Amino acid sequence: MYRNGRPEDQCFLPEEKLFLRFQVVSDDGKVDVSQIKFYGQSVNREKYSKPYYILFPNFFHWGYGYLHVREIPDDIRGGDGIPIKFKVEHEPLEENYSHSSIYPYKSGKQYNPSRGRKIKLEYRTKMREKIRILKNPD
Amino acid sequence: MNATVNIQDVYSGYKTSGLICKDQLSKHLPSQTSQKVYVGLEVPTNILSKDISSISDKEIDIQKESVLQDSINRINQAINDLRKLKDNWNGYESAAPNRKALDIAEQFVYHFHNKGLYPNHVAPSVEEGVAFSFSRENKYAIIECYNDGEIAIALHESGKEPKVWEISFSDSEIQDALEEINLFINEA
Repeated sequence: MYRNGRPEDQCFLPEEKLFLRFQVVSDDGKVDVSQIKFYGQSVNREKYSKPYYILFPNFFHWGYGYLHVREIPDDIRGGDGIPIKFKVEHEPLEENYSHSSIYPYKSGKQYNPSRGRKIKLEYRTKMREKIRILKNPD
Repeated sequence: MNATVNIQDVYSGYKTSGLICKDQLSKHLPSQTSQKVYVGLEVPTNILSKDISSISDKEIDIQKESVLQDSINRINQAINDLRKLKDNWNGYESAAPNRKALDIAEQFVYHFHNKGLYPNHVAPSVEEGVAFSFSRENKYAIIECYNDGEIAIALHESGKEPKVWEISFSDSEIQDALEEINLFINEA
């Protein structure tokens, strides 16, 4: 779990699972959109983590689940028609080597507009569909 | 004839009453009584355990008022709980809902009451604000009131493209949005 001096590993295979935690599950049995972030959604990567590590250090009453790298929505377009691509990046922390984040890119640059909730909510709603729940919140 | 409407248990402080709509109830209730039950309300289990044909209109009206008030109380309590939330509530540095978002959310409660449409969940959003979500079978809707005063709405049916739009904080736009959510969630 600890980094112990290990380097970043930016090689993600499409089948690798990305674990994330959440506090609310909707009555249709899916993660609530309110729990999914557009820019910088934190995840733990399967390659270096057990699923429940995502609840550390003090979120043990929350639920957790996963999606595969290949399932990150890739059909989002900005209002100008330019596609927004999402990429998972390994961002190891000293106490959590598996920590990674999902970032949006537009025209090759990280994209996080202060306005424009529509695009963000569209992505988050699509992301919700892909997440499989392993444990519901208590 | 016994009514059998599935109502999930309340699981957290943010959960409000389950969303039960009129046409869903009408599958189980005789038509003359189904019109007496408000859309979007949790049906008391003491009603569900009865032979529906034996329930008087007066009894249903009394239950209706009680359930409606309970739903409003739960939503208001959930919003009050959010007022106590601290920044970094999710461990990922998300800000707690601020006063602007909470005040807008409170206005939505007024409109929910008028519309007879009640969210299944009230929650803090990782995008920083207050979220109301609704779901029924494979349909899902969410309203998010953000800390910067913006409001966005999404409707999604599993396997289809979501419909997403933004509204301004005005009575007419809120009412139109709730009407669209109500139609979407409750349409067959």
